Amino acid sequence: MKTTLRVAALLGAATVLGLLTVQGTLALWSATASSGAQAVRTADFTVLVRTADGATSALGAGTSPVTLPPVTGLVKGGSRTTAVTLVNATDAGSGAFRARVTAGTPQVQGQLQSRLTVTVRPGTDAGCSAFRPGPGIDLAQGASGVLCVTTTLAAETPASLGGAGASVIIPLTAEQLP
Amino acid sequence: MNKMTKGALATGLGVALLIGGGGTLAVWNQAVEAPAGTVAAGDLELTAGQGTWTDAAGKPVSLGTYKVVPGDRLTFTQPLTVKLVGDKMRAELTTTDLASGSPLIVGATTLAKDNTPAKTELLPADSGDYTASVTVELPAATSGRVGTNLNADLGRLTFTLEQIAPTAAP
Repeated sequence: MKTTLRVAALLGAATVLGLLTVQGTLALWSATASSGAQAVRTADFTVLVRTADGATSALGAGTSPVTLPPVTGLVKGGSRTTAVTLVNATDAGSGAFRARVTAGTPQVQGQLQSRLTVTVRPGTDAGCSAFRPGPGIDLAQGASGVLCVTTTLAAETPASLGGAGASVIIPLTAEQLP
Repeated sequence: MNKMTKGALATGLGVALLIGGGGTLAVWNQAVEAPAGTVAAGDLELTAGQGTWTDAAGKPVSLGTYKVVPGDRLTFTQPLTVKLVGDKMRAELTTTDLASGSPLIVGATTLAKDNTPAKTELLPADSGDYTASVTVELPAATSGRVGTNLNADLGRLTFTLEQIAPTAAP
């Protein structure tokens, strides 16, 4: 009985080993070719903001602020216009990436909040000597445009506010044009 | 006869038998070659040509410098040459599937011959030129700054031509 079992066990082991070995013989001809397809990269959506003093920063995601140079020496009833240059520096491969930069409603904070009026208009290529209609400017890839920020201090501003300050926040939104 | 004489006679008889027996080994014989012919092995070969990238308008782009923006769709086209030889040769042409999700969407790779989808099982008669295509797209609906400065490595895209085991003849 023991001998019979041993023989059966050996046959079983031999069968398993045989089957495992046979698996290796299933390999048939095959050939593989690589594509050399490389990598696809996406562009960086970049709009630069250049202020009158030459400082350049990029519009970031969310609410990253771009600081403009301070407007000083504003008198009652007077206004001051500052040019802000915007550059579509997106590195799209097509070279045809157009962007529209739109200025939102300026928000004035501080002591002069109720006395200060801020308007933002697109300027011409020459600067802020003339204005274009519309709230924003369209920029071709690599092109630049000018936004003109005009700050006006109300004529009825009381003398007690002389020397007072205010901060102005101008939300700028850049979007891709189809 | 003494022992010496008997021994000499026995030796002589043995030698004579050996000599005589040698003569009986020569018989008619003839050799011919069977015309079995030559057994030739078949062939299975897959070669890839130079792939090209084009934009949605079909204009060639250089991927080394090209960067995709929302609304862009690039197509990679790869010429392949299949060679199958063998009476019982059957093979399958497959490709690695690089399909991935957003934001940079890599579509499924397609194989075609003469602008029609390639058959699953190829025979020697199906040898010839094939075209593999895969598209990569950054949807126009991509919002905010999602998907900027991304990489989709398609270097893993490979094609395999694999023989299908011949079925046993009845």
